[in-house]
Amino acid sequence: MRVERKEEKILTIDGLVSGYGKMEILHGISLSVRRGEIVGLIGPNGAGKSTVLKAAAGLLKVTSGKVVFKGEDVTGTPPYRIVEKGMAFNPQGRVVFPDMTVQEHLDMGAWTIKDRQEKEKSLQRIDQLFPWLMEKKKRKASQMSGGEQQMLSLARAMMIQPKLLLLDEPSLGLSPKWVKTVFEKVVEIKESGIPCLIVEQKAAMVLEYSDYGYVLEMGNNRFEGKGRDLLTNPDVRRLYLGG
Amino acid sequence: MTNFIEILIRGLMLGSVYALVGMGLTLVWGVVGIVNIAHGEFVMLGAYLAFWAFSLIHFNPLLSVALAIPIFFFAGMTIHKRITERLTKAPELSALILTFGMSILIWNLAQFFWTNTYRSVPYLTGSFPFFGLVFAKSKTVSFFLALGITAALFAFLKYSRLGKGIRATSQNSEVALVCGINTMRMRAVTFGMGIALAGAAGTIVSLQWVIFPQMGASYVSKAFAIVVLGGLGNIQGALAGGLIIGVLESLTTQYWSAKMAQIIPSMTILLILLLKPTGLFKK
Ligand SMILES: Nc1ncnc2c1ncn2[C@@H]1O[C@H](COP(=O)(O)OP(=O)(O)O)[C@@H](O)[C@H]1O
Ligand SMILES: [Mg+2]
Repeated sequence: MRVERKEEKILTIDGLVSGYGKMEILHGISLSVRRGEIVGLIGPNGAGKSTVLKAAAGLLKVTSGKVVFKGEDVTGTPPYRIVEKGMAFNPQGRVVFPDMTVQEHLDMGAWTIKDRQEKEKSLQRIDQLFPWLMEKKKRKASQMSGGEQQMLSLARAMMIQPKLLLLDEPSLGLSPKWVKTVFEKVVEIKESGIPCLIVEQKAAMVLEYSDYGYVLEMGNNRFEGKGRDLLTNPDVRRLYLGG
Repeated sequence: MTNFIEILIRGLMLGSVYALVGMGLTLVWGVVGIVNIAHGEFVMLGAYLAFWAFSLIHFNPLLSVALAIPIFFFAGMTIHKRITERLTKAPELSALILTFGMSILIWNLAQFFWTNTYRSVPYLTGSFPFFGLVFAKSKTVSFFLALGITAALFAFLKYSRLGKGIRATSQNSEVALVCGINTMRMRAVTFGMGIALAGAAGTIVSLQWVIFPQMGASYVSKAFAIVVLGGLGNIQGALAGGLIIGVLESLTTQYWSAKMAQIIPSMTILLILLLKPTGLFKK
């Protein structure tokens, strides 16, 4: 079911083995994200999807295998160096600093940006993407709804003007209306030239939006293919999409 | 009535210094996740710093705060990197045991080198009248020093880049990491700040009370009461908690006895944990 993907690879994960402490969770995962793509990463709960993103972003120790970002081997690079290289990560679950304001979140997002003009450019971009956020600059994250927090986190991640966006279950705990808003925003971001790797429980939903998809199971690759193909694949449907 | 107001103000002055110690403890506990039982020993070391600087080279005790802050900050960062950093991933009990050991070691060394002799810094003695009230000069100066340091701490945490990074690390360290913040460094800086606050408080108390190797114990117990009152990791809460403990101590000393005043910290901890374990203040 493998298909030709010709675009340049932005992220390549090759034979990734990683986990927590001595516990190995990923037993050799391979995937890639190419220019202009939304790539969906699905699989049952506990399959290791979040672990893949965390290992790619430098939050976990990689036992073996490689993470190559924009042609550079970044395996074992600390997270703050990976951010500087342009990989933005929006983790799963609690995604904000509860007591900090919108403005402070954007400041934190721009932590690695030294140049004032670059930061100004980022802020203008955020203003285009999330105009309503800029009107709430003084609002604390804890006073915002789950959907707003997710958007704030997305805006925070966009402050580095990333070359790749990693999203871990951005729809978690959101109302259907917010889920749609978030996904539409991701498509808009992709169309502006930033590829995205999205982990989702809502498998059918993410595959709708994905150019390419991977299915993980118990720390191993199980299926891969174009988003549409995976959606119609009888095995994938039976096992992961509920029939 | 004037007597009551005087006692109240004395309590606030006392409390402002306790608050420094408490804010240091709560900051480290909240951001670094380490309960530093040895916190009071750094108050003692700060007091000795002021004492020795004064008695050996006649260094102005009021300026020893400015000396203590950088020294204790870097000492704290070093201790964290060398010793306590490994504790952030270990169970909380290991931190308790290790810092307890550190506490005993430090005051034993102090006892060994400096003996049990009670020391004091006879600098700003005497008192002055103020609208019919009378205040000790040393305590008044201490109060303003403590307030100045507190204001600087609040401004640092609220407005500076490093301060924001520290708050981000304490509120959500995973997101802080993916912002590119070196959270390990933030924790080391915070640990240094906590120790610097204890040391600064030590130089300030040297102006008013006797200095001896075991003096840290009474400060750490007050600091624990303050942290419990203010809520774990809550800096503003610790300021309020410090002032409350100071006022309670001052009132009890005056209207009951100095002995009773000594059990205020433990009574506070007990009552708050029973009645409102999250502390008196919302974060
Ligand atoms: N911080 C952690 N420490 C130890 N084990 C973890 C941790 N996070 C996740 N795991 C384990 O790793 C496995 C994969 O988790 P995860 O990558 O979060 O799965 P998914 O995101 O696909 O639901 C699970 O068995 C989970 O229990
Ligand atoms: Mg997950």
